[in-house]
Amino acid sequence: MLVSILIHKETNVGLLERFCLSYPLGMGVLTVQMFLLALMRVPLTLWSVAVPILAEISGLYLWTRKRKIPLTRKISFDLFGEILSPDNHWMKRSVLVILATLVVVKLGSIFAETYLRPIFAWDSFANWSAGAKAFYYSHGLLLDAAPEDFFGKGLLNRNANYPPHNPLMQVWISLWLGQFDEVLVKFWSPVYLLCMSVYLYLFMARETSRLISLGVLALFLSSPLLSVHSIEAYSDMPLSVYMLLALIMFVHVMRGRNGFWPLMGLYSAEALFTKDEAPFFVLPLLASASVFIWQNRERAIASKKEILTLFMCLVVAAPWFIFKFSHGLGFGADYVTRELTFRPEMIWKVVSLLFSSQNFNVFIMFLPLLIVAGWPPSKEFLFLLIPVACYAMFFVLVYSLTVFFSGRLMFNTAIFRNTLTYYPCICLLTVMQMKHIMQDPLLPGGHVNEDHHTLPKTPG
Amino acid sequence: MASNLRDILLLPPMDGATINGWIRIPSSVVILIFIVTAVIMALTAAYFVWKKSGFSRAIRKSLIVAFFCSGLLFLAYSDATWYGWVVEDMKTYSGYSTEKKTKIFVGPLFDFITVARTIVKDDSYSVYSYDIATGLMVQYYLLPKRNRSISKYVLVLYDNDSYYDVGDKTFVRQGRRIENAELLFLYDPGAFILGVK
Repeated sequence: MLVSILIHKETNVGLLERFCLSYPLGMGVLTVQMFLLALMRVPLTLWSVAVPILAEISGLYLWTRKRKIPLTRKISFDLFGEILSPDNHWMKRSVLVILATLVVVKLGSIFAETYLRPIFAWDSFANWSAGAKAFYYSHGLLLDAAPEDFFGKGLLNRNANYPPHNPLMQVWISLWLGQFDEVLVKFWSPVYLLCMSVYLYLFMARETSRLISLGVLALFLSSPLLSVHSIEAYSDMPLSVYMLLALIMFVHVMRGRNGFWPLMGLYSAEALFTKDEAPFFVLPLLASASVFIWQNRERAIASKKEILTLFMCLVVAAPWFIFKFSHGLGFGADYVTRELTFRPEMIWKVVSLLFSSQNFNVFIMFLPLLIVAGWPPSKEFLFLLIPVACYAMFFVLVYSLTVFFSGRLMFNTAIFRNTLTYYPCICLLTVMQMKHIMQDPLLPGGHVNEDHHTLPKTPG
Repeated sequence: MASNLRDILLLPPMDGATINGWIRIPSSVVILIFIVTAVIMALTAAYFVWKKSGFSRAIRKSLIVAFFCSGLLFLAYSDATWYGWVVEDMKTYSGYSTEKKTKIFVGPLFDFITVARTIVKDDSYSVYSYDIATGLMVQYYLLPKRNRSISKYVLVLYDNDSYYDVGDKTFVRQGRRIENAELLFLYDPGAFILGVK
């Protein structure tokens, strides 16, 4: 309902897209709310958490009725139409069926794996689930506990510096289950992947074609680290979803769909509430958006109210940062030392690992090649590339300029895990650049959707 | 390098995800992907040039073709291993309750933890184990009960520094001596639970 209200002027957003946008948004709003309740010392019970949510849903529903905002749009099954259409060559139809099967089976297997295994990764226990368990059983965030236990500090190796989005999602599931279930508490994770995959497919299908979009999605989902993180209670996956959605919302607003400004702000805020490295993406994204607004001043003045909502929505993350700074909680793990060094050779190590196709399909290898092949890139692409490149560069700087990250950390694990957070963005950029290349009027087959402002009907 | 090239034909499966781990794809597979990418790019570029596409356009098109071909190769390789893991996990975990699945995952240590859950009546205990990871694992599964330096319950897991005298009912560890420590549960001579009166 919140999504429908925020983008009520966007008539071209289908029901499926709304669902995919709603789940990550709702999860973020829910955990921020739980955090606020806990700060007010309201015990986190199913009653105390669900009642405000129900009240909000009722309020939003009344709002939509009053303003006559339609909640649902027609679901279209254009993919099935394309598969069944006799107008299409049998080979294209067969490839579509194979790709759709690959995607569905992969997503199904991820859900099955999530259901099969209990939480199995050590840092899931230590960083996220230990806190979740303690919060669930104490009905709060241990804010009135002894200093050594404050905010779950002394639990295993838990880092109290980390935002509580992940543990609070586990608490929310536990509240419904009536117990902390080692298998079911992490079920939010594959749902994040599902929403991201479907939304990415729908967006890419609009940009290129259903065939290319489905092909890219199948390749994207075959990345092993993505699959493993999707069955476990890690925070890198939700962060990657928020980053991707914030970036796609930016694409929409650049194309004059001003209704997406607040969503861009909300996803950015939720990224900030998910992991500590998010500011290094959100700040360049805001900088990129600011440059875009500056360059389109005349249009921006006309829609200044919508643009303002971008910055207003970032306030959602404010309680966490106020709490963090007022209690002297730092950034990153508390065992991280800030001793500086200069090891430029680490840059080569990072680059060689990224291009080694370990853990990720060939997107990282091909994006630079596609950028060179499609030179010069479009202005829109550059606006999208800058925040992602700044975020990736931030890690490279950290790895080469700090003693801890360049030496003491499990280097490969950290690199791949950090890469996972911007990997969906890399996938998006690859498709955008592929579209740019295919739009070359000299290229036969350069028939992809070129008009950004009159979008085609919702792909399904 | 020689071994890598020889391994290309063997296609060893990728390593599994381990605790704190990442997934290692053998370098032979990576080399194979690079070779396939280069060959497909060269062949398709040559084809498009032959079809009078112009060099620049031929390169662009061949790049997209190579992207999908090498991507599909990676997909076939990585998903084969992935589904192998899924099948393995189905055999191991399918049809069991969460408690049983956790027991399968943790192993015999979980029996000890299950007993500890019922024996430890307070909200705290002290755990001493032979390594940090085991101690932390016990702490995780015993939550919300907390590990404290002083408690009425002492959990010992093959800790070399711990000594318990059954006759004297005395527990000694690194100079600290606890009298009246009742043996509440003996898993085996190295793993036991004491209750301090």
